[in-house]
Amino acid sequence: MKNCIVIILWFSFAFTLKAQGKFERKIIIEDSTFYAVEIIGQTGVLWTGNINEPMDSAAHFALPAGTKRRSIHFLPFAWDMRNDTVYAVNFTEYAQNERLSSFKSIPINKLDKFSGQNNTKQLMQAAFENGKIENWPLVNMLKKYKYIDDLFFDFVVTDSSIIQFIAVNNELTIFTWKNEMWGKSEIFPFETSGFFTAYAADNYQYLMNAEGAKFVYKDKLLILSSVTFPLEQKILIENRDENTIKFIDYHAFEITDRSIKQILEQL
Amino acid sequence: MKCNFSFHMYSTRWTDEELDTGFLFFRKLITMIKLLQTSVILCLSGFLEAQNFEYEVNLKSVTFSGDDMYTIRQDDNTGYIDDFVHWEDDGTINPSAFTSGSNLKAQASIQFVCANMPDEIFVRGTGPEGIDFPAVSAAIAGDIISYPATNADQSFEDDKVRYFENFSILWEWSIDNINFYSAGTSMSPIYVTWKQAKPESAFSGYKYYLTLFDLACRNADGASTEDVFIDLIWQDFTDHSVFRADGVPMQYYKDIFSPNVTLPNLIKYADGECYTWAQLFLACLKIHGFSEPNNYMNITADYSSTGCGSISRFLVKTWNFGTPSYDCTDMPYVNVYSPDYYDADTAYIYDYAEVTDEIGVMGQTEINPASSFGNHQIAIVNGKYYDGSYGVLYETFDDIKYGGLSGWSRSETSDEIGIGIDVNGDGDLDASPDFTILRATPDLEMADFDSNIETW
Repeated sequence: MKNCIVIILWFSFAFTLKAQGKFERKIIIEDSTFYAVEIIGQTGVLWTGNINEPMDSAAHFALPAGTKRRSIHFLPFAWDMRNDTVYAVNFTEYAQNERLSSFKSIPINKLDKFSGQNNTKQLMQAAFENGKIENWPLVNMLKKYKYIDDLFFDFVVTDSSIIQFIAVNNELTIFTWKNEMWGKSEIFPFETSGFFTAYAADNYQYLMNAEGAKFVYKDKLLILSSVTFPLEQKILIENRDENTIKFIDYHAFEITDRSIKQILEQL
Repeated sequence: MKCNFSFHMYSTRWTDEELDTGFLFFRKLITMIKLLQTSVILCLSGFLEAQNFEYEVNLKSVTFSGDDMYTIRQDDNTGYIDDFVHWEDDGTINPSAFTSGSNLKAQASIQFVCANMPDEIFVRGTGPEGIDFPAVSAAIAGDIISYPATNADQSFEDDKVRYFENFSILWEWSIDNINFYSAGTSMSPIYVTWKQAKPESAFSGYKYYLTLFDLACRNADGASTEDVFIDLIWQDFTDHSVFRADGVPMQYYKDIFSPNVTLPNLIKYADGECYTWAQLFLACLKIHGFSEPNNYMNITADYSSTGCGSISRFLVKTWNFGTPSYDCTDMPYVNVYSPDYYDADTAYIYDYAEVTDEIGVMGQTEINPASSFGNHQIAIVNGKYYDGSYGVLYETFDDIKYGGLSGWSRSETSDEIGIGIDVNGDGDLDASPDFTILRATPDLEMADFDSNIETW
């Protein structure tokens, strides 16, 4: 009987872990190179490699940013990549962190190779460095909402702006960084039963909520389609070479001995 | 263990009165029966007398089980505590844990060496506080007799925390189920939780680690209400000596920038940040089945605006504010972090310092823990603020600021020109390299704490 309980617990635990997949939120493909982030411990490891080569041959870089793995609701790492710079919101649990400096922009060529384990240096850099764009949106939202079990956020970086989406308590506020300052939208009703993912396409920003409902942000938040799939089972493939957006089953990337191209072709 | 035994002989004797009776046939019949009986008894006694020698009896192992037995994890998170055996004569001792009100089952293995093994042997166990295991005919296989998994004749008391450092059971055996002889004593720790423990969770790090049972039950032994076990467990935090189950003291910032921010790492490495200590206290309560929503508070400076930028950090007692450079009026003190600041071991590394860390508020097993923070984490239980890192209980949120702080601070990137200080002492102000600075003020009225609350 007890052994059965152990087995059930193990499977429940394993399923919960697997439900978020190996990589955080998305894989970006640009110039035949893929970029993906894995969280080890709390901090990120950036995978980058040729889409025609096995994923295992990718280079691994230690990201001085990451996210906690503790919330009642799973909050995946919020990151994006633009012009060879990784952008991220550092949301690790670390007593040196300041919310104001949590928004990071880190040129890829400044990243250290991942040594195989996290260390204090990575956490300290995440706390103190690369935070020139002050994250007032997060500071102010955390001032406004005291109870944050259902806090979720993500952002997209375009060539001219950063658009950060923060949802708490079934309310979404959108912040736009442009001309060295943050602008703020009105508050939109938005289901916060689970995390959402943001992406850019066709010069607009889109959101996919936890149930797979699709929204577009055009000064207003407009719903484009209702429930389609549970987002936690999917990973976003943002192919900038082909200008395509796909949500595919996260299971596809559990085995990384094949190339991204092979994996996608076999779907 | 060696024991000597002897057995009484039966005998038959004829009396004159019996021979004089008129019922000769009947008497003869009786005589025949008695003779037959005597023969059987003589044969049996001969068998028994043949066994009137030294027996060797050794208690080999004891295993507990039960529907409400927990599967306990190793503190290093490498696996589970062995629950196939809880006491063994080779010195093996493994703890076990149960829910109050549950019934403990025990099975025992006894080596019984003799020339002619009896056909039946009874075994019983006498435990503490009337928790006994009834006499049962044990299975015999070779020289091993096995007491089957048998319920104790009394359950653990309902809704009562118990800790048995040595749950001692005297195991005895008998051939006639009347006269019992010692086979040995087993002893192993047993933890009994107040209610069914909250289930493990994947991401919180809360799992059934041995240390959690040890802290939760050892400290609250005998408690039968929430208030009492919460208070008793908390008392262990107040003396700044909280020990892992193996006796290793757990520390708050043994390493001044400890990377251990999860409960499993605190237990594994016996060192952790404020996050882990808040979680440890809450986890001990979860072990007893107690948990409330909104029990986990993250505290930050409120980012009050000053002429030097917003206040984003704080300094926990005690910091000595020396001579300020007044590079900036509102936050007149400046420190410059060394480029290798993250290599600091037990003290902060500054290339230049106007405010310095001194021994102040003691943390867990650490007389002078880290004290410059961007945030802090505490537990909220029944409306009170439990700061496990320092073993301090605050009745109100405002008490935290005035009870714990030396000052407010902020960090930013600057250079010698930016702060007007010749940090490297080369006689001029350099525009590079950039370095990270800490601006500080001892004026506690310049800012307040903000807080956000989650459920852990």
